[in-house]
Amino acid sequence: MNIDPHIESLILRSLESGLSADEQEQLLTWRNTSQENETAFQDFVKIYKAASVLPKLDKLDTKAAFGKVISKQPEIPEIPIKRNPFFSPKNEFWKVAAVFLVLLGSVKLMDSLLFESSPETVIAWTKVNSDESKKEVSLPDGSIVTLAENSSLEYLEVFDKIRSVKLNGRAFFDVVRDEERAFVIEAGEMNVEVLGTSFQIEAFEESNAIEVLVKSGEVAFYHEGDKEKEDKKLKLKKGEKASYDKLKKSIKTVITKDLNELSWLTGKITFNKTQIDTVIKTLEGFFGVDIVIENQDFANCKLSASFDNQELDEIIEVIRVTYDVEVKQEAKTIRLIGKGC
Amino acid sequence: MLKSWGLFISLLFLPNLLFSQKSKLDVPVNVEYDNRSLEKILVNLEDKTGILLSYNPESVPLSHWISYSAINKPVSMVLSEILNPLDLEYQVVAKQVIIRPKKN
Repeated sequence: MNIDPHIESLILRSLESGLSADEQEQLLTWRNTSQENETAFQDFVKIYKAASVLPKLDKLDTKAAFGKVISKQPEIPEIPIKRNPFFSPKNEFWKVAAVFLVLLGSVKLMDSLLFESSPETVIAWTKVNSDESKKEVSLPDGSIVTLAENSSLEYLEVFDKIRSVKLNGRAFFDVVRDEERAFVIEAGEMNVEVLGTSFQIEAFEESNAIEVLVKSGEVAFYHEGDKEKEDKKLKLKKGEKASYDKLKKSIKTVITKDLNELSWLTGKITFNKTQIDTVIKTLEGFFGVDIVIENQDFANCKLSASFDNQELDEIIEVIRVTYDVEVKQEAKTIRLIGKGC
Repeated sequence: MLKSWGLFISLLFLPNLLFSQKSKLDVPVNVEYDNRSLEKILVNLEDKTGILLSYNPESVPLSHWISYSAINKPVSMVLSEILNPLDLEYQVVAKQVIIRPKKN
């Protein structure tokens, strides 16, 4: 910070020759005005004391150095020199002051380089992208976030009073309980706030829905503008799901019957009297393939089955044997030819 | 030295790799069903033994009431004894135990 030259001279003289009662009062008032002023004062004193132990200080040719500056700006010093000998380049004060200013600058620089925790330091956001496959991220508080493919998470390297993260895409959160520090996820225009629990959020930028599914505990789901309005926060408990519509700007709770919401995470796919065309849609989404059912009657059949981290061809083989259907594997599509049940 | 440890460790895990549906079916279980639906029994067997089932719910009489008990019998035998009277059979494909009507 820049100190007013008058104050600077007061400080300097207070350290050297002493001040009049009036000047002391002035300096004290200035120091008490703000924490910043007091800090500047302390810095100045620090530098003064450091400088006084530097043996070579007296030998510095401040006079010559200062003279050079003056010679380049002849107009400026002219007026005050005549009026007040204090401003004369010959005054010892300026030599010392010049050295002090340089030292003050370097101490400030050292400060910012050495002490990262100083309040001005900006704590960086870390961004993790999952790209093509799911990715597990450990956060500074021990919470674990599993990102689905093509999703990204941003978090502060050091969590402060609020454990704050940002999500784009789909992720499963397993948040370590901390009653003192809420865990807040910014998912598009919606926030999800918890103390400690596990849940899934789906918030792809290109989708019109932002969804939360709670696996354990309780979460609060609300629009970013309603941070302070407790009554606008939708509380969701274990097993509950809510969906926010970006176009309608409304939240609704959803009763989910889909057993496979978390399949991407667990690798487990479960069907319970599920119609074959739904089974096929799930498998297509999960494996990114095209499956065609030749006969609509077979599409209306139902399946009860559970799969655990299995490849698509194993699953297709199980379906084939369960219904006695014919399977034709083509370049990009799998065809199922079967009859009605 | 390191190599032999590596071998030792892989031998330790070998049984896990072989521990497929087949051997899950060999594990002896105790069950007691007193007038329960076939559907509930199948769910219970999956939970209890870790076997994975697959069936067409429209060709398996799920609401059929059954009383059955077994002490220290392999899962495979329990399944056969429950399914046989209903004209059903099972077949192991991949990790799944597929339940189907018996073929004539």
